[in-house]
Parts: sequence; structure tokens; C-alpha cells
Amino acid sequence: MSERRPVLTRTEPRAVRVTAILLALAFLGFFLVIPLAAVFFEALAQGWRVYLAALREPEAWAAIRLTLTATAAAVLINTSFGLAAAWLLGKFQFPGRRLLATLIDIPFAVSPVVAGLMFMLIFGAKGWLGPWLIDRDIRIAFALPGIVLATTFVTFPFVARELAPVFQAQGGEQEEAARMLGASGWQTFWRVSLPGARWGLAYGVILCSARAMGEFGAVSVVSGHIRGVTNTLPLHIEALYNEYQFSAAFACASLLCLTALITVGLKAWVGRRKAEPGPRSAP
Amino acid sequence: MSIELDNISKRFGAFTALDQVNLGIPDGQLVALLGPSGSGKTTLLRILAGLEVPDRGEARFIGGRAGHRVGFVFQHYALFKHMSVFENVAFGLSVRPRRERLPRAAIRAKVRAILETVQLGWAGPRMPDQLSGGQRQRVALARALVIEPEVLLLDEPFGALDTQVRKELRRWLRRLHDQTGVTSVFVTHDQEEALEVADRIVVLNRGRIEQDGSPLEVYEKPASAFVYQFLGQVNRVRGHMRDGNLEIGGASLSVTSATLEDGDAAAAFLRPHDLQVSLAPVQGSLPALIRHIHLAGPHARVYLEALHDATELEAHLSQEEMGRLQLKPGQTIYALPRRLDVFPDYVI
Repeated sequence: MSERRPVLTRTEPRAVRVTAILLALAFLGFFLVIPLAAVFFEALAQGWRVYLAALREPEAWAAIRLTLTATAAAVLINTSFGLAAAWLLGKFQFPGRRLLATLIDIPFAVSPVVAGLMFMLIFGAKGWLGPWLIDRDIRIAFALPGIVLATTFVTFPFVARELAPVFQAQGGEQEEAARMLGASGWQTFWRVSLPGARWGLAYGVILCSARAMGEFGAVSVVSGHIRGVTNTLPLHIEALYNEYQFSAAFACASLLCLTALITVGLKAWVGRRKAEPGPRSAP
Repeated sequence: MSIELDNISKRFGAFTALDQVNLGIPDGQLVALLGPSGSGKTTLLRILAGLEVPDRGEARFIGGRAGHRVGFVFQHYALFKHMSVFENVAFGLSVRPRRERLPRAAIRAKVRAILETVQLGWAGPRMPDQLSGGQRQRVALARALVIEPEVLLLDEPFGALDTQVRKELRRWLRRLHDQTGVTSVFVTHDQEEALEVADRIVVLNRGRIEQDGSPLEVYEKPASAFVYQFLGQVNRVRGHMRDGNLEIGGASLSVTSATLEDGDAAAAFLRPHDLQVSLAPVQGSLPALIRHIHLAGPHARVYLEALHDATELEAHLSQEEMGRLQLKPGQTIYALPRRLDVFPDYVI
């Protein structure tokens, strides 16, 4: 849709431009392309058979399932919370609004390892609630709930932070219009506010999923590294690597790289939709 | 349905938006709330709509059905950007509780009909951002009208449009009102718009009603200096009252409506077309110097400067009169008011 604009006036001499481009390309190649290629190269170094075997192996398969489960749970929780928080921040002025906005950002500032330790301090065997929970046979630390908690904490801000500015930019007029037309608050939210922000929401969910799948530090602390039980994919990769099983480690790593590439693609596509004023539909 | 506003006051922090406003609007009237920005006109409209709650006082709707419907048209349209024109207009019908909701086919027919009424029958599948400003505002009107409101409220409905479209749309709004007879209130800061469209004009200033009357009344008999200045072009001269006349720099001008005591400082207002120009001194005229003359247009505009204190005055003369007088810039003439209204002199 964008019209072609005249080329910007060039002031830099050709040599400078070429050097700058080459520098940027070299940097990109060195830090992104070569490592990424290396992962796939190493993964496939001993052939497809070994690659597939490494993924089919029960412990790897358990790690993949656990990662997907924890990611799904964290994304679900953070989407519900993010919607509510973004709604509050974007549509209302109230005392403590800035404090809430700051609090939401805390997980970005805290090191994931510290976040993991924090949960151990609460739910661990010697933590505040640990003994009480163990007495009632409720397992949080070294189990799925702990992993979900840690993942949720680390990816907490994504949806809220993406959505709040979108809600804010919408302003209040469309909601007022809906109200004047007789819509209830519920109808207004589901039919006017949320659809108007759907690309912002999608963007937040994608970022949140990507970060949740790759989470290492916090999960590493709370999971207890029980093979085939509480090892997520990143933890499984580390374990394999430490045992010099390079092909298997890189095979699993290539899976994470693949999801990352898909995420980047989706993100670019959604980002473009988000930037448009409205959806284009053929009449 | 008629509306009663009873002693409405509203403050936003330290700012008084409305100060004890009383207003009654009978069924079927088309009323303009006219005032500068910050006069409280939009707040008054939003209180009528229920979008704002007054600090004091009460807005009552009389003689409507239970759960009356109010149609509201926003200055910037407030169309739902992610919905097509059709879905926008159908929204008010489709959010009704199931037992009140029309069948799908009936909603479809109603939306089509109202889109035809606003001359946008073709636009149903379009998205709002594919339409021009004037078209969007007509969609907003259709969306408000399709729910068959008993009161229609419009907040600066044509404020964001260019002049040509504005003029068309306001005539169209007037015709629409004549057809439907829905009690309507619209907010505007454009006096020309208010004068042309409304049955009645309520002039607001600083949260209070300055004047309330027909377009003719507010224009011909402004109740205050503010209304005089706000509606139409006006000249202002300052002087003192003496023996029921206005004394300015030695000249004594006769006054049309005098409510002031002798010796009071007075601000006198007169419209440019109420200023006659005479070549020789006459009783009750003010000597003035011609600065410029603009001949283009339906009447000539003569810009004058009063000799005694350099007050600027503007006179509108017919082309015939211009031909008869043969005026030239730099010439001294005698300005004679046909009518002159005085108000206590204070800074507005």
C-alpha cells in the first residue's frame, strides 16, 4: 500500500556506504547466521537417523512435552492477567496506576535465577510454605507447578506491556459509542475493545510463548533436573551437552532454533498487521 | 420526549464546567448549544447522554418509554474501526438482549434502509478507513438513528469536516430532523451553523447560559455583550452615558436600548451593516478616517479609524451606496449608527 518515495539524497561517498554495509553484514553473519547454521550443521553431522533418534528418545520427548505444557500454561495465565492489567492501565486513571505499571516490569529487571531462588524460598522443602505443602502431599518445587510458576513469572510482562499502549491509543470514544448504543460492559469489551486490539494481543502472546519456551535460569532452579520428569527442553540440552552427547544436544537445540525462527516470522507478520490502521477486507 | 435540566453544576478539579444551569427542551425541537471552547456545552451534552454525572442537579427525560434510547454522534465519529460499515450500523441492534432482538433478516433490512437514507447504500461492506470524513459522519449518524432514539445528541458533528461538506451536511441534518421529528440537541462553536440549523439557540459562556432563544432573537436582540460579540461580526466603541446618550470624544450618539445610569462607563456594540457613512457631519455621528476599502464580495467593506481614539470600525455598504459616496482611503467621514446597544463596560 505504501507509495514509492523518491530515494533519499545520498551524501556519503560510495566507499563509506560499501564499508558500512559490509561491516553490518559481517557482524550479522558472525553473531547470527554462523551460530545458527552451526547448530543445524552439528545436529545433522551424523545424519538424519541419529538426529531423529535423538528427538524420539523418551527423555527428549518428555522434555518437549513438558516445555510445551509449561509454555501453554504460562501463556494462558499471562494472557488472562495481561488483558486485565492492560485494560486497567490503558483505559483508566487511578491512584497507583504508575506503581502498577512499574510492578509489571519487575520480572524484566530481576535475574531469572533470582526469580527461581525466590520460589524455592517459598515452596522449597525448607521454604516458608514447603513443609506445610509436603505434609499435605502437594508438590510445587521440583514439579510441574513450580516450573509453570517460574516460567509465568519470567514472561509475566509481555502481554500486558504490548496491550496497554494499544488500549490506551484506542481512547475511550469507541467504548462510549458502544455504551450509547446499548451494549453492556461485557459486550463492549468482547466486541469493541478487544477486537480493536487483537493484533497487539497476538504480538504479546507470540513474544510470551517464545520467551517461555526458551526459559532456562528460573526453571533450572525450581525443576530439580529430574531426567524425563522435570527437565524442560533447555535443561535437557544442557544435560546432554555436559555429557558430551553433542549430536543429541544440537538436535534438541535445533528444535528450539526452529521455533525461534517461526516466532520471528510470525512476529514480523503480526507486526505489519498491527501497524495498519485497520484490517483490509475486500468489499 | 422532552428534557428538563434542573440546576445542573459540574466541576472538573478547579475548573467549573457548568454552574447552575436550567434548561427545558420540548419534544421535537432541534436545539443548538453554542459557545466557545470551555463554555461547558460539551459537558452539558454528555450529562444529557449519561456519559457524565453532574455534581449537583438532575437531568430528566419526560414522556419517553421505559429504558429510553439516546442516540449520540461524536465529533470524531468513533466508528468501530475493525467492523465494516454494515456491522457498525447493525451494532446497536445486535447487542440487544435476546428477547428484544430482531431476527437477523429484519436487522439486515433495517440497516440497509438506514444506509439508503444517509445515501450510503453502497458502502455496507467497506471499512471505515476507506471512507471520507463526511461519509464517516453519515455512518455515525446512521448508527445512532437505527436504534430509533427518542433523543439525538450530536457533539460538534461537523467540526472535523471541511467547509463545503459541512454546509451540505448541516442542511441535510435539518431536512432529516424535519422528517423524523426526533428531539435533537447539537453542540457547536460555529454561530453560522447554529443560526442556520437550529430552532433554538442556547448560548453558553463559562458554564452559564447567556441567552436562550430563537436564532432571530439571539442575533437581533443579544442579551449580553458576550452574545453580541460571539454571534456575528461586531464593532465595539467605548464611552460614557450622559442624558441617555453615549458620549464618545465629544460626539453624542443616540442609543437604542439603554439600561445604564448617567456617568456609567459603557461599551456600545453595533453590527457593520448598521453603520452608515455620511460625508458631512450629522447629529449623533462619529468622525472617522477611512483606512482601507475592500470592494470584492456582495457588499463593500470599509475599514475606519475613529478620530478621537483610533478605535477600529468596520462598515458594510452596498455597492450602490459606494458608487454614490465615491469614498477614498485617507478621507474623513462621519459614521452614523443605525442602532447602538450599550452594555456595562467590562473586559470580556
